[in-house]
Amino acid sequence: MKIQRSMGEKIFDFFNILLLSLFGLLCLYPIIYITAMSFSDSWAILEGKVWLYPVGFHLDAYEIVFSDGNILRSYLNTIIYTTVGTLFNLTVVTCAAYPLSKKRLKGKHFFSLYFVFTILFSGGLVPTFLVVQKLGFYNTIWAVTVPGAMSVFYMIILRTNFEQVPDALEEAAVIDGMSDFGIMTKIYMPLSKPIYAALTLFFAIGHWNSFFNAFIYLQDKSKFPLQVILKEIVIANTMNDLGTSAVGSSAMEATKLLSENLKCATIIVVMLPIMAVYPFVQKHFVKGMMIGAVKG
Amino acid sequence: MQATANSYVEKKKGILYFLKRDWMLYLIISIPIIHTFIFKYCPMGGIVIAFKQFNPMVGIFKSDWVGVKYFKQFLSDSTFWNVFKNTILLSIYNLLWSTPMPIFFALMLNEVRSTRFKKTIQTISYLPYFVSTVVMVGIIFQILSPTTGIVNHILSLFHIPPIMFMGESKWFRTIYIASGIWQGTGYSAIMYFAALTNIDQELYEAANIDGAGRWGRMIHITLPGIMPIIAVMFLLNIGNVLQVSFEKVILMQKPITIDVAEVINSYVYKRGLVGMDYSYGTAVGLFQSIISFVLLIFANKISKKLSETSLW
Repeated sequence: MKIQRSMGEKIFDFFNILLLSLFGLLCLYPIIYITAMSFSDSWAILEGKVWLYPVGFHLDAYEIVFSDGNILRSYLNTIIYTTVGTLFNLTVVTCAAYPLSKKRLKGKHFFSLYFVFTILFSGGLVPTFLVVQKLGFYNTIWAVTVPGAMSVFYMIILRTNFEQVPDALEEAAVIDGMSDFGIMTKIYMPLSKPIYAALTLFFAIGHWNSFFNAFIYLQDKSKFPLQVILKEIVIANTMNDLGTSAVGSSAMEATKLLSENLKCATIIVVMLPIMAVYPFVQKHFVKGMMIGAVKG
Repeated sequence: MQATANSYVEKKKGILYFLKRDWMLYLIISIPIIHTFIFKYCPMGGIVIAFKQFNPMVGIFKSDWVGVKYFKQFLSDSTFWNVFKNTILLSIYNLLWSTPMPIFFALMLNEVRSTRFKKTIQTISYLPYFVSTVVMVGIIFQILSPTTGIVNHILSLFHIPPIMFMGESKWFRTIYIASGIWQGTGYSAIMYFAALTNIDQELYEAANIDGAGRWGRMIHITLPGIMPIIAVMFLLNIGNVLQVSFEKVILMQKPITIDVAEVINSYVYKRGLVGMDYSYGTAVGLFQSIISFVLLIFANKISKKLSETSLW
């Protein structure tokens, strides 16, 4: 259906495309700017020559970043927290979603309400902190992986997905003598591979980017994840000497102003894995959002 | 028939029958139930310390009851009211600025004919959503740096002296909101895209025949078509008006900007955890939770009514 466009419509189209392109550039620009800074010479940065591409290209900043013990260790910590945390997420969310997808489960309505209520009301920061502390999780990996293992939002997405699996499959498996656990792990979960791929990505990104729990619960610098180290370097403007513990000594530690390209290089290094998985994420992203929106 | 007959039989059976038949399902679901109990419901029980003089040495149960002492204390504290005001103002400004942006964005993108352009811009638009708060605030510090930041370099071209954006209270809200728009516009627009694709295409064709122009179609078909979802999103955001992001605020604030940058969440953290004034922090947190809860319930009620009536 071709409709002759009037002059007004052509002008409208032009400005519409222009504004949208500008918006797209604005979304990308801060990341481009930081990338350019990270490869640039300190003097070029101070003189304000860097705005789009590296000036005086070199990799010094990255050499420092990759030879810094704190950054490397926090990178490893983040990888561990992300892996363990994501596994906990997937387990707990599956264990809630699968039974709740069964119409025959008595008390289904009550259980749903039990979970959903936690979105509406919470005990607050201090009581949650005290519970985690009482469990002995303070300053351990468990504080950053266990308390947030349940996600009601993603649980609803997964439950919706399980509900779409035809009942006949389960009936056949029951005749074959399979248990509920077997049916869940051998039939339902393999059939839901795409949604599991999406959930894994979302949970992993969440852990990679998370700052709050580590900030509150972790005390030893040797246990800090990347985001906390990044905060110290870029925002608090400090880079402590290798291997020192943050406890009590932070005030006395030598604080030096860090060059801008070093800060930018650290930002890039922290962001890189997210940018690398982004093409996969955005494929699942819109779909996942919509399931949650419709059923949530 | 079969189903009703079954459910009739099932009604007569006791709870033990179901526990026995589906024991494995109950065993499976007990994991998230226990998890939620420990990490969500136990803290709710822990709220009692707001009414006690909590001493970590003697424990929750043996600490003395003090009634509403801590509530009186913070309600008569001018610092608290300043923090409360900051939270409300930051939230409301944020709501007013960041609610229309995704709507404009979705409407504009909807008018684009080229699918490839549409897809590209959309994909780019929610990239910032995946940038972590720490990285984003780090980028803000870099861009707004008075010595090396791009913004001050541009200002210097116009002979404007460098501005300490992060070190002046008057800039805090602007930066908070602008960065929120950068991060959230593409993400929030997804809802509106979905609503836009659900609009009946025949309406547009009919409007074409009637000679409606682009504006006419947008105002009489597109906008009413997504009005329910706009209302719902707006109301749900109102429900969250006291929940200002702790991470972003604590990362952005500096001692010098604290008079506008301190919000309830960061205040509870500082008084309750850093200052170890557990009972006081819990009391303020409870105050916030109750208001949020009431607002959410209220907003949910209105949005249900609105989206139902607007369906007709």
